[in-house]
Amino acid sequence: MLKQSNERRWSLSYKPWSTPETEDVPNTGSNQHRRSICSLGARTGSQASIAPQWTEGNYNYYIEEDEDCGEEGEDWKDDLAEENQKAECLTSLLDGHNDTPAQMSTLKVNVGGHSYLLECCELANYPKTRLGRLATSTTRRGQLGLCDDYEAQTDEYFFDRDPAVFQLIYNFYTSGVLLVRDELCPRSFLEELGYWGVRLKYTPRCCRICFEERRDELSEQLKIQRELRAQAQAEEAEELFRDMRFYGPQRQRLWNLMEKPFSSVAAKAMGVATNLFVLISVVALALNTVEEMQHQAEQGTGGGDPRPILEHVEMLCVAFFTLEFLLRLASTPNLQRFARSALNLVDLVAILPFYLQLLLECFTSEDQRHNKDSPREHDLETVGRVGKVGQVLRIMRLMRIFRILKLARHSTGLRAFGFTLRQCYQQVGCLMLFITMGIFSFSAAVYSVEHDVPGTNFTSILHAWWWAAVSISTVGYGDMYPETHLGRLFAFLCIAFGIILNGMPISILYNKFSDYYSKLKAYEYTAIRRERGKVNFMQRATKKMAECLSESHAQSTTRQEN
Amino acid sequence: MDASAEQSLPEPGSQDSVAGEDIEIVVNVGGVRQVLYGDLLSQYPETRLAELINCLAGGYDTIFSLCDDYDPGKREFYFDRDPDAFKCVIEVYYFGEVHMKKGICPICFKNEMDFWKVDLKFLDDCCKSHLSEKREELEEIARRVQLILDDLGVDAAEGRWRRCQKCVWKFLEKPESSCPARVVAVLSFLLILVSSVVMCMGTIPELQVVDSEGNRVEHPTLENVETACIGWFTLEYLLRLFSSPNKLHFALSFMNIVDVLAILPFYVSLTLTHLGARMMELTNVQQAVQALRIMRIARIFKLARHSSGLQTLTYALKRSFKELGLLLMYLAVGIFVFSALGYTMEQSHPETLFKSIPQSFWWAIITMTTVGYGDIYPKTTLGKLNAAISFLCGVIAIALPIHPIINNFVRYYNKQRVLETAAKHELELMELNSSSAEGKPGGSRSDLDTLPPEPAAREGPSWGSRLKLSHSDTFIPLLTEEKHHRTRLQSCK
Repeated sequence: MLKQSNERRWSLSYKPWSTPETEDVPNTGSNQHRRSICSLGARTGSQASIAPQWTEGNYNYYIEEDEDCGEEGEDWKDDLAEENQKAECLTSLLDGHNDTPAQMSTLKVNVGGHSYLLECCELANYPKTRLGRLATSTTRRGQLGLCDDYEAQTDEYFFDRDPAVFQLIYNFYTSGVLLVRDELCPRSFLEELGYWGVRLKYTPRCCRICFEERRDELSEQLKIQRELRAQAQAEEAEELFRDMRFYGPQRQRLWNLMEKPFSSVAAKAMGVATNLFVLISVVALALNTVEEMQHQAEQGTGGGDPRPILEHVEMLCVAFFTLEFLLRLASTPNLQRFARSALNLVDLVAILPFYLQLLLECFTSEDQRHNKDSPREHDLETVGRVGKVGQVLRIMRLMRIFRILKLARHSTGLRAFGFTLRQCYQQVGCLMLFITMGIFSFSAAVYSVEHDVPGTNFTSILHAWWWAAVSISTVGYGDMYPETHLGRLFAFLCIAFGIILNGMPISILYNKFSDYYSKLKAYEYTAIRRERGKVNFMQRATKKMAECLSESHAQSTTRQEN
Repeated sequence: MDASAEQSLPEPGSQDSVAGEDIEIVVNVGGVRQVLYGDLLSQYPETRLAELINCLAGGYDTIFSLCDDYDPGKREFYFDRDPDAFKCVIEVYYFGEVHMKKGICPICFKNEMDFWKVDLKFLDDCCKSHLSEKREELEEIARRVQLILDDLGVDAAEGRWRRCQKCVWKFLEKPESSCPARVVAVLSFLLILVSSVVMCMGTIPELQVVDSEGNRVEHPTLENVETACIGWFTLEYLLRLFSSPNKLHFALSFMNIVDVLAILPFYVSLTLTHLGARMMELTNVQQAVQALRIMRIARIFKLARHSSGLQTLTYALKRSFKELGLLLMYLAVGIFVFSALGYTMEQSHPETLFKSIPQSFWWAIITMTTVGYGDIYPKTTLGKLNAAISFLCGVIAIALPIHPIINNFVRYYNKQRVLETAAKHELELMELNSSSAEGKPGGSRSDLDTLPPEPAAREGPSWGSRLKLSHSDTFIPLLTEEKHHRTRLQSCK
């Protein structure tokens, strides 16, 4: 029958993997080489009842950092001293035994509650592994340094390790091939391998490729997670305020007000106000270009006030943004990080055009005043310069539209979108390349067919680019369209290609976007919870305690009554 | 699992009742003990377990040829194999088919099946496809590694000419091999773009100049740029051709045909303008030159050489031929139906744009693909209704077959990246192994080929060879030559 051993002796200290790999291991285990009992391992049937907590970590949110596990575990020599110390104390405990171990042919090993019988000669084939050293070491002390515990009565060595992984290692000792299971976490598996001193090169090639694939996947996932977390908690800088020189607490309060909309009611109001001002200013910018409004302004003011009401709105908004920006700048704990942040750049871009415009207007008016005094010799030149300045001004005015990006500060979705684009820049670039190629080739083809038709719009390939772009995106304005049969055939091909391309961003980007969005949302949620939780954690605990106490009290009273 | 249920089945003392057909044998595979019944096993007489029943009479030699060890007292056979795979394999005796447990590497599982002499045909189809997929992937990786190794390996024994040739080949074909090679690749990429743009600019009427005979020709600077680009392309192609190890294979590969097509029109038109004027009429020559000029757009496909995404797209389109056909068929049916309907409904209007059914094909295409140029549009109410229905149908007809095509693309794209990283890992590992092998020769490594000599010698050849076998048969032949490559890799590092 199966040998079952249900004793689980998990010592409290769970050591990290540390296999002392010294070269002076004498091969005495090979002396008593007999092949009487090959493999008498036993497996408990109650494997499911043991759930080691470090095999399946929830890698969704809680992995802290990713250290690069070296290819096959380079840092073998961890802390020999500690091991030796432990061995000493163990030997002092087991004083009655003789100092040299009995020359045995089998080794009884108990890993995480499962006991195995291994033959020494098989272990001795791999003298560098932990069990190989255990089998070949001559002194009891050396042996005890290698295992977690030893029981003298049953001659059993105890290891506090994952039995699921050891099953694979056991198979490796008996058959010489190390298999890798898909369901094991790659990192914990590597760690276990490092502990047992078994090297990854014993795995067959196919398994190793799968394993490496999964490891890459995991590290990629972890990297993305770290970046996401950094994105979500950019403003996490409490400790920086402690050692600040000027007005530390005040500045922290200000910082919380500006950056953490969930920290207080005022901060929330601040966030809402910012969004509102952004919307107002953008709408004002749009209304400014409506002709009727411009006419009205001219008629209503009659030249008395050169600035219509919209200009006042604009000024108010810019004043607010400037104030906001300056407050942020004043309260930031880390100027470098502040300067690097993309959101702050957006803020700057939102207010800068206005001031530049003011500056330019100031200069031009000065110029004009100068010219009034001077004779009219530079007249033409100034007109030209004013025209150029006007163009620059128009572009400046256009740059104001970027302040709509300020909304990103308060919208998780927009940030997740930006993050997705940054992560998938390769795929996006690929898509762009496809579209460019489609436009190039189809425009040339249709141009070559169509340019002889009288009255056609396809006058050059550059013009045909526009047609190809409009067709490939299936927008189809209809300002240009092919009229010959061959041209129509090409157009059909172009449209079909466009249809296939248009479906691509959905499947490529959408999956990642939804993933990132939900994660970002979760991070932010936990951050908010932490903010809020700080206050009433104690309160909640006391309340719970009181409830429990009253319940037990009630129970005890009822029992007494009974 | 039924295997675990089977585990609890044997009672103590049951193995003593060995009588006639009811032979029970006890096997211990990797520490898991199992009792099996003779009549069950003899269903498949060619398998290892069935042979085990018959061998009991044959003495110890036959027994040890089949299993790793035998305990006569307990009548137990020992096998040093993977117990989990064994649990799956013995299902064949109960159900007649084998399913792979999730998490077991398919190639290893196949080896286990070979060991137990269970034919591969018992493996169920679902698992079989998994196996073949995995095998293809491995072969692909091996091929890639082989390619990279071939590139790396510069044999000193070869002549200087060959070495030079190889250097040029690597320089031009492998942009990732060195920094200058990458620069050249980027330069070539940019030149392709520039020449395409220049070609398009040449057709703008404002930029053209009138030559002495009153014809419009391209601007001279554009012409010069064009010539320079062509010169570069020609040089590149000739260098590639000269350095390629296999000239015929090189000339026939798709990308190189594209290269030829990109440079050929220029030279053909050059010769035509210089020589052809004497033989043909001038207008014919001009028309031919005009046509050839358009052929120059073929150079945009040269970009495919520099973008793995583009290659993946063509591959995906090739593989999803069926879905493309489906898309075309849906569209064709829709076009026929709606153009006919549109034509008949528009007949009542006096100034209809639908002149005939073939004429209205164009309208149907444009409507169903939701492009809508607006050159032909319905004017009657019924016709408008028809148009509305047609584009709704078009949206559905397009959306359904598009998804598998794009799925294919995404799958191949991801696979490509996985393969690339896998090949890289493989190389790193080889390097690592080779460095450790070279680093401490004859040291106390626990490597296979330096097993402690005493056990291997006493073991007899069977054990060691089995070990080697279990290693080597999981390896693709490439890796058996690993040592050869090691030295190569080492020499070029």
